[in-house]
Amino acid sequence: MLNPKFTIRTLQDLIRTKRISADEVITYYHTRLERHTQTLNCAIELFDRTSLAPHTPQAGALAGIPGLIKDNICQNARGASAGSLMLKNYKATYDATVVSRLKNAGAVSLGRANMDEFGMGSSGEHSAYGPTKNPWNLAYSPGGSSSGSAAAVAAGLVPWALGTETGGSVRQPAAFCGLVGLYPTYGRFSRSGLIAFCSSFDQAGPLTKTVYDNALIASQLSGKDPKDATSLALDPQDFTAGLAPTLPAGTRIGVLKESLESDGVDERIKKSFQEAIASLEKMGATIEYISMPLLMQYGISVYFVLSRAEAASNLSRYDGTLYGTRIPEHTLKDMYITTRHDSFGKEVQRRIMMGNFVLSAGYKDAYYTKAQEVRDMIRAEYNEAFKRVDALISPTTATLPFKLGDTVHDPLAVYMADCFTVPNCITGLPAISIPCGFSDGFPIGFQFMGPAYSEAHLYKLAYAFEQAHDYHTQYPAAFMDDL
Amino acid sequence: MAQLQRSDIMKLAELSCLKLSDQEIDTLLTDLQKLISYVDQLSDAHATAQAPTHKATNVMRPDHIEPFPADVVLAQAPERFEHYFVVPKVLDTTKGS
Repeated sequence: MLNPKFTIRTLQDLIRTKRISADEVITYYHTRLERHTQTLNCAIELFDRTSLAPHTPQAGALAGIPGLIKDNICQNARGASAGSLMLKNYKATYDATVVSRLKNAGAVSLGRANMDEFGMGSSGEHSAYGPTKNPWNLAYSPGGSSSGSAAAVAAGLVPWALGTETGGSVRQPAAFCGLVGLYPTYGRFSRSGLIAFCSSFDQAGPLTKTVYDNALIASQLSGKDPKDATSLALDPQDFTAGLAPTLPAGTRIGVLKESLESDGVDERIKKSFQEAIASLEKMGATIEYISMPLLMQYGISVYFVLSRAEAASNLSRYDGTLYGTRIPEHTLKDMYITTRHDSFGKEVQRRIMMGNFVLSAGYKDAYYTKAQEVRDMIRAEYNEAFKRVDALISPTTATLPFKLGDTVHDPLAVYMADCFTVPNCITGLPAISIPCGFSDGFPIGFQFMGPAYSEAHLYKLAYAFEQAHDYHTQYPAAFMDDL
Repeated sequence: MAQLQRSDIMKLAELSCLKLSDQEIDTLLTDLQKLISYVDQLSDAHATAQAPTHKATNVMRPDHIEPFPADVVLAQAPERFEHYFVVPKVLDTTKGS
């Protein structure tokens, strides 16, 4: 009776009306994960079925709804490796606030999703536990760094997964896998219990098949958390309220002009995006083309400098002393060095080196301080744009998914591919990626970006667009085995 | 524009507590030089006179401690003795003074 195309909304109805029990739902998805995880390498660990907390039926909005949690988010007494050998045997000693909120709503985590090490990568290939595969074509990357979260939801192995995003790590895999992915306003969701990469950008974000489901999960995550001083003093919000198949009256949408003009954007992506623009116009939106030269020119550089600087600082805590991996040596200093050399992957080491360079004496002003200044200029550019329109749209990615093995050689080219997802993260502004077409058998995504705190409005726009198309009803055939 | 030398990479590795092979130093020298050449474009951005649009504010909270069971934390220690984390000796006395 269950099938992999069920949305959270459908599952809720079935459970509430007692046509199916929460236990059956959990067993169904657990079995699907067991069957397909090896093919996709989407999970670092699947929890034993018998270890899953007994379910209490009336316990909240997500009662009995199973999902997967990215492995840099702490789940009490479970492993949390962040995709790194450094934390291979680490066990979390508490639940991240986003996890405890989902648990309190009745949701059940079935395991730990694979990811690029410490969130550093956009192809999933920088995981110490092997690359994740894209369910639409196993020779290709599902994107990253939330690679396992996206692959599992896209294949219908779980109805939701949590990812984390610093510069596109939820939205880019969402686009590559045909899903909905959110980066919220910075501070909307608590970072307590997220393994830090870049603290002034990091946010958790849900990956789901539909906009409604995404809003449902996001609603549970929102709200001030005393454990995170950067969490916003905003009450939890129900983002599913007011979702309607038509655009709000008077919707004004700004198209990021450069995204249509740039040579770096794949023609197939442009075509799909242009169709989305035409479709929004037909649905009644007023379309305006907005040029954002600073964002396009400097976005990657600002992100690059600040994220490496924060990463170098955050990752200095891994030294083999208090927790995590230790490679024994005779002196303390040697222990630090050997532990870090042997337990961090190449990309992580490159970012630490780069971060310490931009923070080092003689260079800090030219790079780190300058990047903070330009960050503010980009913020001003966004503010100007949002005086004219409710939301900006652009493709989520410049290309279709990367072929596995193709990306690891030219770091600059890989970083440039994040040009549409990085700028709003620099400024902590929310954005939602949703599917807008297919090409060559791969999904294509585009995104709505809005001013701070505009998630509810972005969900309305995304929902109306989704309902006017059938992209969200498409699944990779190879994983629809028990239909 | 910053022109990196091998010695810069070795110095950074030391600051980063990383040990690099000769080959890793060469690779990182090429990679970092390329990346830094790219971000050097930041120097072309001229900040406008307007005041910063974003102000960070301090968030204060009462200074009280919520106890956390030490055993749970110590269970994660790579090496422990009773309620202590064990580390190798800091000073290598065998090398003389």
